[in-house]
Amino acid sequence: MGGLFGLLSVGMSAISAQNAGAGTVARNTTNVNTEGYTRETVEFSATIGAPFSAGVRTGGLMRSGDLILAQRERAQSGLWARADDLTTALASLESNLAPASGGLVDDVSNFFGSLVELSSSPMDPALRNQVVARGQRLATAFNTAAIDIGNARTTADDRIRGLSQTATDLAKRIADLNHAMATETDPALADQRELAAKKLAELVGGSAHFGKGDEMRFVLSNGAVLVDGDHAARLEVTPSAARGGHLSVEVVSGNSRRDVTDDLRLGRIGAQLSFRDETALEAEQAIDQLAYDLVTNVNTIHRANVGLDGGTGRDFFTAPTQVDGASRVMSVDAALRDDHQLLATAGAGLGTTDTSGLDSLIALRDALAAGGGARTFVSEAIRTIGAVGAAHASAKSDLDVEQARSDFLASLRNSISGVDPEEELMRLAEFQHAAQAATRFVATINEMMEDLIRRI
Amino acid sequence: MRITQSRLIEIASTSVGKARDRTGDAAIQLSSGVRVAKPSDDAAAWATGMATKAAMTMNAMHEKTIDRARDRVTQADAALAEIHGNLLEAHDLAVQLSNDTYSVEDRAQAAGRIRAMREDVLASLNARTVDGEYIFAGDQGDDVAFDDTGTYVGGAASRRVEVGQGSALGVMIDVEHLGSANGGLDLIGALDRFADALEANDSTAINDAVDDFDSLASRVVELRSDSGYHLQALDQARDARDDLELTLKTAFSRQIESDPIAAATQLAQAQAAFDAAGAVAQRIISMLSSGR
Repeated sequence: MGGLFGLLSVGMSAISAQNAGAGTVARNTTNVNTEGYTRETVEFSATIGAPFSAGVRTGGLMRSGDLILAQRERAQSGLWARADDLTTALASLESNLAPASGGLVDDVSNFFGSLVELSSSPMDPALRNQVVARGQRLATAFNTAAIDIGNARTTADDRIRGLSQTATDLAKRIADLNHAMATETDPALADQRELAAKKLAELVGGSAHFGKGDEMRFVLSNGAVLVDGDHAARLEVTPSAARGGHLSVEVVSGNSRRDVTDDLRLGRIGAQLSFRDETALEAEQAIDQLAYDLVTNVNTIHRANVGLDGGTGRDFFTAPTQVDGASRVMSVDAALRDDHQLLATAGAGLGTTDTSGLDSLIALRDALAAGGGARTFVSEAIRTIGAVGAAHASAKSDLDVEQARSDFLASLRNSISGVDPEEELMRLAEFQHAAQAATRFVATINEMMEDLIRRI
Repeated sequence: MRITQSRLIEIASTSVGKARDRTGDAAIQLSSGVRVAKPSDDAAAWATGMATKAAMTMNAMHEKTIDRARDRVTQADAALAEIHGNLLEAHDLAVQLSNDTYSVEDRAQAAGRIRAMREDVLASLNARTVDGEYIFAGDQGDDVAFDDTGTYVGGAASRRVEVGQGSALGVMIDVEHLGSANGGLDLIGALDRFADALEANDSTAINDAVDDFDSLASRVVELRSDSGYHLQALDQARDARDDLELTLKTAFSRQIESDPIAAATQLAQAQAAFDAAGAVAQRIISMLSSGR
C-alpha cells in the first residue's frame, strides 16, 4: 500500500513539474516583445529514493543569460551611443558651417575679389560701397559661424543636463533593484536591473561588477562609483566659470563630489562633452583666430593707407581686443559703413586715387598670414570647416563599425536569451504530453489503489 | 547560432532600412548632380573643390576688373582720338593759312575756330570717367589733369590692375608730356600761340605752328598706340581668364559634381539591392506567417 502511495506522489510531482514548465512557456511567450527580457527555463532534477519515493524535483526558474556577454553589451552600448550622439551633433554643426551655397569660404573670397574689382575704378562709389558691404557680409559670416558654434555648445549643455538627470534616475533604479533582489528571487528583477545598467552604460559608458549577494556595482571608467549595492550616487551639472559658463559634471555621493567632466568620454554624455570641449571648441578657437588675424592684418594696412577724403590712420574693421570672441564681435567700422570715402585705398603720401594701398590689401589674399603663418585666409577657412566635416565623417564611420558590433552582440544575445514563439510552442507541447502521461500514470495508480481497496 | 523569429524580422527590417537609405542617397546624388555636398562626404575633395571655387570667384572678379579697365582705356583712347582729330585740323589750318593769299579777316576768323578748339582739347585732356575720375590725372584723379594754362597738374600714371593671381597690367596713359612743364610739348600753349599768330596776322609764327602740330600729332599717335597696346594686353588677359574659367569649371565639376552615368548606375544598383532586401523581408514574414 505504501508503495502505491509513493507512486502516487511520484506522479503528482511529475504533474506539478510539467505545470511549472508550462508556466515558464507562458511567461516567455507573453514577454516575447518585452525589452530586456531574458528567456527563462525551469530546472528539473530526479529525486533520490527509487522506486517508490522517487519523482521529479522542480528547481527555480533559470535565466538563459550570459554574464560575460551582458558585460560586453554594456561596454558596446557606451561606444555605440557615443558614436551616435557625436554623429548627430557634428552633422548639425557641419550643415551650419558649410551650407550648400555661400558660407565663410565664399565670403572671404568675395571680400578680396571686391578689392580687386575696386582697383580698376577706385573712385567708383558703387564699387567702394561694394567693398564695405562685402566686408560687412564677411563679418556677418564670422558672427554667424561663432553663434552657430556657440549654440551647438549650448545645445550640448542642454542635452548633458537632461541626460545626467536620466543617468541619476537609472543609477537610483539599479540601487533599488539591488535592494529588492536581496529579498526577492523573481528573475524579472534581474532583467530590469540588467536593462537599467545597459541604459546607464549607454549614457555614461562605465562597467558593472557583481559583489556579494549578486549586488551590482556600477563604476565609471575613471573609477567613480555610481551605484554600490543599494546606494546610488547622483550626476549633477553646474555652470563652470573655468569652462566659460558651460556645465561641468560631478558625481555626488553624500558629501563627496568628484568632477568627471574631463574623464567622461563614453556614452551619450561623453559624446556631448567630447563634442562641446573638443571638436566644437577647436572650431570656435580656429574661427576666432582666423577672424582676429584677418581683422588685424587688414586694419594694419588700412590704417597706413589714405582715404578719398585724404584721411589716414583708420581701421577697416572694429578692432578686437583679444583673440577669444573675435569672430563674434567682428564688424566693419561704423564710420566707414556710413561713408565709403573713408575707405583707404591710396598709399601714404600719394594721390587719393592711387591704388598701391589697395594693392597691399589685395596682396593679403595670397599672404600666409593665417593658421600661424602657414596658410592663406581662404585655405585656413577651408581647413577649419573641413576639420568639422572630417570629424563628422570619422564619427559616421565609427558609428557604422559600432552599429555592426552592436548588431552582432544583439544577435548573440538573442541566440542565448531571446524568446522564439515556435520553440516555446514545441516546449509547451512537450510539457503537455508529459503532463498527460503523468496524469495517466496517476489515474492508473489510483485505479490500482481502488481495486486493492475493493479486494480488501 | 540560434536565431529567433523576432530577430529575423529585426534583421530584415534593418536591412530594408539600410537599402532604402542607400537608394535615397543615390537618388539625391543623381538629381542634384552633386557628389560632394559637404565636407564629410569627402573631406579632401571638398577642400580641393572649395579652393577651386575660391579661384573661380577670383577669376570672375578679374574678368570684371579687366572689362572695367578696358572701358577706361577705351575712353582714354577716344579722348586722344578727339585730340588727334583737332590737331590734324589745326595742322591743316596752319598749312593753309600760312599762305599769304589769306586776308587778315580770314586769319582772324580761323583764330576764333582755334580758340574753340583749344577748349575742346582741354576738355578732352580733362575727360572723366562715369564715376568722375579724371582719366589722365594719374593718382590725382579727383582733380583736373591740366589747368587752364595747359600745365599738367595730375599725378603719376602708375596704376596697374590685377588681371590674374600674381599678374597685373598698367591701365593708365601717361600724357604728362603734352603739358608745358619739364620740357613738355605744351599742347594748349601751341594752340594759344597759333591763335595769337592768326590774330596778329604773323605768317612766320603761323608757319612755325605747322611743325608744332606735326610733333604733337605724332606724340598723340604714340599715346594712342600705347592705349592700343594696353587694350590688346587686356584682351589677351580676358581670353586667358575665359580659358581659366573653363578649366576651373571642369576641375570643380570633377571634384564636386557627380558623373551622371556613374550616379545612375549607383542608383540602379541601390534600387536592385533595395528590391532584393524587400523581397527577402517579405519571404521571411510569409514564412513565419505560414508556420502558424
